[in-house]
Amino acid sequence: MSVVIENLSVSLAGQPVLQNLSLALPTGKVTGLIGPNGCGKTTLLRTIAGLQPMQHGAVNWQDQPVSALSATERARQIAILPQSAQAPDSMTVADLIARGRTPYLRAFRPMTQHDRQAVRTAIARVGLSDLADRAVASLSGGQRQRAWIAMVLAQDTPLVLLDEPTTFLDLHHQIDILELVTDLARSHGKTVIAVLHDLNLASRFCDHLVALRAGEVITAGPPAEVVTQDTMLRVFDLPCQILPDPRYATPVVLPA
Amino acid sequence: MRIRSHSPLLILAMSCGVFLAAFAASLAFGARSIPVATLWQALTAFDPGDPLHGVLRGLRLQRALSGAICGAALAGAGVIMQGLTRNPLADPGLMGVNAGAALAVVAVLWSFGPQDVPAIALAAIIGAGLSAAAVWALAGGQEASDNRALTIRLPLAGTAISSLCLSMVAAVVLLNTETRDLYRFWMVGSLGQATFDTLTRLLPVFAAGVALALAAARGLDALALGHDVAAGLGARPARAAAAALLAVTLLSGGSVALAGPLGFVGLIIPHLVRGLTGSATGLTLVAALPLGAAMVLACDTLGRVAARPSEIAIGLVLAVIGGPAFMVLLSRVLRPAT
Repeated sequence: MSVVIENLSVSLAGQPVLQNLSLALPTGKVTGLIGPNGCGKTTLLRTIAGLQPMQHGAVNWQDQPVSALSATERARQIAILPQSAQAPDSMTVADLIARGRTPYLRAFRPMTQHDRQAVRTAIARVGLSDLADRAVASLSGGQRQRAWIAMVLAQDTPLVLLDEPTTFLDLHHQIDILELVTDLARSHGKTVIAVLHDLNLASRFCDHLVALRAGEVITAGPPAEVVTQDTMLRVFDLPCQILPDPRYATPVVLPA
Repeated sequence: MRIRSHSPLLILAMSCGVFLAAFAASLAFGARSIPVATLWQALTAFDPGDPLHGVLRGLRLQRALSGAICGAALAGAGVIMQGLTRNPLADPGLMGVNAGAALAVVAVLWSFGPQDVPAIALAAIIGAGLSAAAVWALAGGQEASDNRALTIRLPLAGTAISSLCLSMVAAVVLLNTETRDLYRFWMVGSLGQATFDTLTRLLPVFAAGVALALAAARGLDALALGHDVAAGLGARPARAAAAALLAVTLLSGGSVALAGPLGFVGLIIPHLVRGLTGSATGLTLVAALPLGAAMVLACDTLGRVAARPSEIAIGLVLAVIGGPAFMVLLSRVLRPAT
């Protein structure tokens, strides 16, 4: 268990968002955070990334509190892609991805050969090598999201946090991105935590799910144990039927 | 829009070439033209007996160096300001430095009558600093954990403080004719009054400004992607923003102290340079410094040649050339990307 959260409480503008939350997430796997809007998924992700001050409790990454890491050390361990991040209009794909090397650059020095290689590898990994000199703004939604994921790849961290990486994408591109994301864990051994909205895709692509409601963990475990009629009712107030996917045997939610 | 990336060395070589040409032109042309050969002699083998050498080593060199430093400082300040506010048409004047300097200069002229150049410069830089600090405080700079809030509030705070200062300037100038005549001369901006002495005293201000701007460049690169992405990349958003604004204040404050308020350089040069260098703040900054210097030198030379043997104040030349150029840029920026 690489990410261990103990008794975490977080407030935003005086309002408690996460309350006494404890959680352990598996190493080298894809964990999906699911739950209704406003349940604290994004806040939990930002807190794990060390971007959100906490009132109480601890977030540990590989047996070390995240808050004890310096900003640069943290950025070499944990990468976060916030929801609908925006690049300046004129920025090229290669420029955006090169920003992922920020935590490795020395002051007043240009990128090293190694940095450049990491950027090239990341661009190739998401299949954007031919578009490297294009403006990010000119890409399609799916390509743009791949560019951002490549930036996170260039950051070369063992822990990757993604906030709704598939929002605003059509189904084809959602699957495309999720395949890329699961491959980070399967082939590269990274630990991935992603906020996801589509329960069926989350069940199919994640190894582990955490269902949140009102800042509390309702249940956590493999998709087959989390996506049940009873949990869906408790988490989303949604009466539904659950069927097994005919091909992947993962749970499929049919709202009643 | 397709973006071509040029080699950084080529861009730097080009901008330095343009700068050297403008610097040479600034030395050679004026009320009387000096041949290039004499120019070279005056710089390498100075002959105190030759009046042309005297003009060159005294007035012209002084003036060219002041112009170069002001232009470089304003262009550098513009790069940082546009990067920080993520607004491609932001002006270093947004920090309120020009208005603050104007108010301080008017206050000194009104209270103590005519002053020598170093005293005016001192008043201007103090006024610039105070006004920038007021803008920073009003924009909530110290508690702005979210950079986006700062980028919205900063231009508003800058506009408010600038209006306040300028209305106080107007009040004094309207009431007092003697102050008005002195102020008017400062206000149009001129490189003719800068002396080696003022220049040397202001040099540390410019040096500190450039150093801070270079140090803030990488943080600004990360901040261009938004606060959370920047923090996730290990940048410290609040610290980068503070360093950037201090750099803008030092650079544009130093410039207004040396030559009065000069417009458009800090707006146009960063914008043009970014078209060549792309989104890397560090490279844009380094290329903008010589090109900003070249723009001021070229406009100043033009002002001297056009009205020989008199001269047109640099502030006016910049406005006449910069105004239309700005409108062209604006229409290009507003046109949707294809």
